[in-house]
Amino acid sequence: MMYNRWQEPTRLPKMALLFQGARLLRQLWPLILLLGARALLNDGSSGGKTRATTTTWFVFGGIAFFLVLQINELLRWVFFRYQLIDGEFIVQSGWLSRKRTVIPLARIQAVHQHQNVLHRITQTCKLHIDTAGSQEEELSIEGLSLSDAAALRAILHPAAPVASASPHDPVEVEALSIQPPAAVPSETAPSVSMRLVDLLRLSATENHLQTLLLVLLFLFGKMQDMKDYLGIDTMEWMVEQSDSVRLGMQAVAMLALFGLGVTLLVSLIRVVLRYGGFNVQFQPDALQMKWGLLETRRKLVPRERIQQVTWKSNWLRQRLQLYVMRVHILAESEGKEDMLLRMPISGKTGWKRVLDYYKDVSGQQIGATHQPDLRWWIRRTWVFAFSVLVVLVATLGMWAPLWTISFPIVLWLYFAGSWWVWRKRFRGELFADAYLLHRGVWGYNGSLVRLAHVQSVSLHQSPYMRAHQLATVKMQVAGGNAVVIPYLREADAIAFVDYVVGYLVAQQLEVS
Amino acid sequence: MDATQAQPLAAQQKQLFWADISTIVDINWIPADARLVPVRTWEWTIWFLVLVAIAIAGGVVADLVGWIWWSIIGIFFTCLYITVWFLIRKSCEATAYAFRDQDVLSRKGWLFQQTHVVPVHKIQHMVIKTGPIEKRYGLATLKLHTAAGSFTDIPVVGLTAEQAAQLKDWITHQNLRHDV
Repeated sequence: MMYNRWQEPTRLPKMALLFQGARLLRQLWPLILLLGARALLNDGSSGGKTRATTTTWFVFGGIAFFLVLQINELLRWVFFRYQLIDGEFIVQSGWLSRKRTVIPLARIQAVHQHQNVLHRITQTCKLHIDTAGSQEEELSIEGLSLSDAAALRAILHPAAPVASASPHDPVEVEALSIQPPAAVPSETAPSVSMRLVDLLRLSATENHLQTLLLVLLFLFGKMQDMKDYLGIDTMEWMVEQSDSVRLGMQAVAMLALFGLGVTLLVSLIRVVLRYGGFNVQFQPDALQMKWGLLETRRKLVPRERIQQVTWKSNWLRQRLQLYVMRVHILAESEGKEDMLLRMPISGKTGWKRVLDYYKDVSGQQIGATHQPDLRWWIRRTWVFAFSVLVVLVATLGMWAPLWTISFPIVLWLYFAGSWWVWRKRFRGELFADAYLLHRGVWGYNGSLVRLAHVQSVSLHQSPYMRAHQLATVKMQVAGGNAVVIPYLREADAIAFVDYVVGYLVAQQLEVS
Repeated sequence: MDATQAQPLAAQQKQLFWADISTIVDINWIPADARLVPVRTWEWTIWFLVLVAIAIAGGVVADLVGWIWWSIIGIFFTCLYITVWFLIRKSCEATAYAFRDQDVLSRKGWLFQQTHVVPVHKIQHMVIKTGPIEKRYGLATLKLHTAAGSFTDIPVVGLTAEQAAQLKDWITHQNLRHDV
């Protein structure tokens, strides 16, 4: 019989202090470095102080600041306790004002394990626990040993019997030590991985324009830092240099090639760092994901907690059958990259496996395929976009050279064509208990929602839509964006809403 | 056997028949309380007065002189007030709600109409909101929150304070009944 070590209030591991210090250093080092460099470069003209005095004050100030923050972090560590008792995670924190957070294990949405280089050296990790209560992580345990993390993950796993059991029960307490944390051994569970060739294809088909913009923004930010902290105006220097050099076509082509090379290299590094070692295992009751080359992330998502699956693929990736799929859970925040569950999937088999894992959609489709009415395109193109075009053409025609009106006309033609393709490719398919949506212009976006996860349904009609007996349907889901089906025939829209509500009600009646 | 197929999730492949499904077309909508019109009119009037004050201050700062400018501003604001008042009136008339055994329906908007359906068991929590003007007229708004997030709450407007409390209790009771 094994003892549940977490039934008594447990302090954060001592290793957590090391990580707190490292985190603080990571936040402060650019500032310390830049301020230090400034103090050294300063020739004593600031307020009549000598260089030595300024540097001394700077060093003292920095150390004092560092110590104050460390004391705060230390107090947080001293007063932080967590325990696992009666199917609840209880967290107590705070010194002057005490805070007690109770997380029922049944409410846990996902467990994330994060491991950076320092974690690997110390054979530890950081465990995040997400619940549906907020978009923040409710519990985060730093510096946990890998064996402890595995044991905790086993308890938090929905298959583990302890989730609903009392740790005082000796038989159930023994179940706390179940490892590995799944009913099916890891090696026999179906899995999807990324090969090196897939990583290369993924990086080659990245949005290079976006990468180039990121590179330029990064460079601009660093140049601004140089100007702010060191007083070196690199932008002015570059303008001076470019003025003095006459650029020929060959030089421009070389520069463009260099830019492309840098962008490709950055894309490759980003993709390899992010998705290197990617593996997803389809356990019967939970999805286990692992990715990251330097910073390894492991996520455990109970299968029942998956609210929606979406995927996208740009034009090139579509040809190569590469998809970036996303598993949406409750309370995810778009702003928190670490919390998003993305999966690069190569080939139709992998794509189908992820979809089938969430919901098998091989059944009979109910009713006709949903597609926006032609009036959706007419309204967008000829009422909204055309009105804007007329205003722009009139304005440019009056105050700018006549040839400039070609820009808004080309733009209007582009949008008219894009919307036409979007409407043509839009396909909404209702199955007995799921809704599958395909759309896209150049690329391909899709989403699959189990009707049981729909929170509410709404019908939207403008006067124009009422006159033409059309309606837009919106399905709100607890994770991911709402599913919107625009400009359906009114009768189809009402039948669709009735079906979804009827399904939800029937399901609830059956459960109760 | 493929592990992904090994344990089908609960409630998969549930069969429904069209005859079993009631439609939202047959709903007997309960119109919002008539006092919603003065409530919304007062709310609009307060905003309107703030707008007028800003416009007058702007006119004074911009050194507008001559009765023509002030007349144009006056006509513009009068037309604005009447138009919005008309829209408020029509919108309040179109506002309605209904509740069936297992769901709550809310309809709003005159030009742009929205009909929301929320199954009772999907409601996570409810908020009864009563502003100072609503309080003066004895009205309240019941906001229904689902797990879809804070921006997707569904308001049931035009209820009396008693009706809002009653509806809240009924939803709580329905949810408790299913939870047991």
